[in-house]
Amino acid sequence: MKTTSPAFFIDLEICTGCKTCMVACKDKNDLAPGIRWRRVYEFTGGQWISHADGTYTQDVITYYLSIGCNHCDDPACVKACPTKAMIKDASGVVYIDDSRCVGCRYCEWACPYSAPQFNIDRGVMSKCNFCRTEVMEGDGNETTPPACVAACPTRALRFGNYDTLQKELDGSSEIAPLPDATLTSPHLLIHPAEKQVVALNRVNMSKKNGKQANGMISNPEEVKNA
Amino acid sequence: MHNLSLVAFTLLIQSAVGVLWISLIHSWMALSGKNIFNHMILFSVGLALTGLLVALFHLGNPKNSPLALSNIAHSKLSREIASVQSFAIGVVAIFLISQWDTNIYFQVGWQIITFFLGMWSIWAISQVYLLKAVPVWNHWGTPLDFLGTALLMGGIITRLFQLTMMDGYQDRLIHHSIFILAGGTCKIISLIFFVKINSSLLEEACYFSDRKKINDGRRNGLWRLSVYVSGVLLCLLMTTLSEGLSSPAYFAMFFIGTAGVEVWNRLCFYRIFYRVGI
Repeated sequence: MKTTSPAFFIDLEICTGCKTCMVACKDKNDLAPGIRWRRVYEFTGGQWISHADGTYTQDVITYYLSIGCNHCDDPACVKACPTKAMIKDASGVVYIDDSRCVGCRYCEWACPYSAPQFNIDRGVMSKCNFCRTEVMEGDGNETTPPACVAACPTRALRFGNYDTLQKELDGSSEIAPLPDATLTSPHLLIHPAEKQVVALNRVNMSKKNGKQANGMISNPEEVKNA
Repeated sequence: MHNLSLVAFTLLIQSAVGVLWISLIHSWMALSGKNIFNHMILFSVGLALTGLLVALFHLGNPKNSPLALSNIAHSKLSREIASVQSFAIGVVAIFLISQWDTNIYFQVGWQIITFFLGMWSIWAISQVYLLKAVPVWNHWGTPLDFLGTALLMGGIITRLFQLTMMDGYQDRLIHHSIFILAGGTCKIISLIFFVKINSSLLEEACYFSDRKKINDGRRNGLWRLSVYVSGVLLCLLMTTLSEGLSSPAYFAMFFIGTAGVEVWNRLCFYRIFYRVGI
């Protein structure tokens, strides 16, 4: 069974932020120090809210977002690449043909998900390839999941065909601190926990709508690119 | 090194375009002699070729650079490289043609083509930075900034040539001042754009971490704006007291100061990089 139009699904209700997916990806792809094709963002937010009766309540939220490449429908990296080293193949996987990469790092600027990362030792870009060989061809008749999905102990991280996942599961790709999904149409679906729904839409969170969020990535050093 | 090489590339190419534009305009208006024209074109060739060479230093794998024109249909970076290479070829050809006694219409025709190739280069270089994911660059301030550099540096370099070569046209200060002031004005307008964009982003930013980055960018823009306003006022003052700008020593100091500010401004341009998302 071949997987086309591949997508990731993350269920934030059951993700514990253990980072096994991140480690499994590094191990499987033998990534150099500083390169993390999959990163787990710890997003925290909320504040004390004062009420007319003089009482205070809080709307504090914390959740973990495991983000790799979203193999977008309209990938900014593919359009940006001057050498056509960044390729979206027929099945929908975006990968790098590093024999063509010039190492200009323009894809790194263009991608709002920090998916392409520079390999200083080799002088070329690198990124998640959805464990392309295994997922596309499988080991016989069955599709083998990408290493990150296979490693997830709670099954919070899943994969599959984007349209199928969209039909079967309740998810969105617009959750803080991710960018507006219209930029690249990512193949990513996230199911938030009930309390996190408030953070779903960046626009609703903006000052313009009278509500300013004070959320932030609380582990920036851990997830920043090398 | 990554940013320094990009700073050098953009400044050298924009200066090369500015020198070419002003030299051509002076030549067409018969404001400069053939000797100084040849020297300035040769200087523009040097700037353009050095710029192209320096650009290779920011590549992780320069041996693949011949492939950089492969995605010209979609990649703004491919188009930038194509435009700058065309410009460099054009300006080298102007120099070579001027060495032979060729038909004047052919010479001028080629000069006009290269003049427009210079425009295309400035436009294409600025387009590289107009990325949807990077709102702090994605506005009219970026092309205006690059145009400003071309006019400012082009005006200063050509004036310096005239003063040092003393070919009898050194009294044409006003023509250089127009370019220098136009360049300075472009810079100021572009920096107003940068500050305004950062202010509006600050209004829309949802998260504390975003607001901190944008606020830094806005503060940086205000600094740059104040430096350029001071520079333009200084230039106006020195133009009024034209003795200051007629002396090669004073003008050399003015050149060094402006070049330094341009490098700083471009480093700031890269430093304010703020991408929406993660």
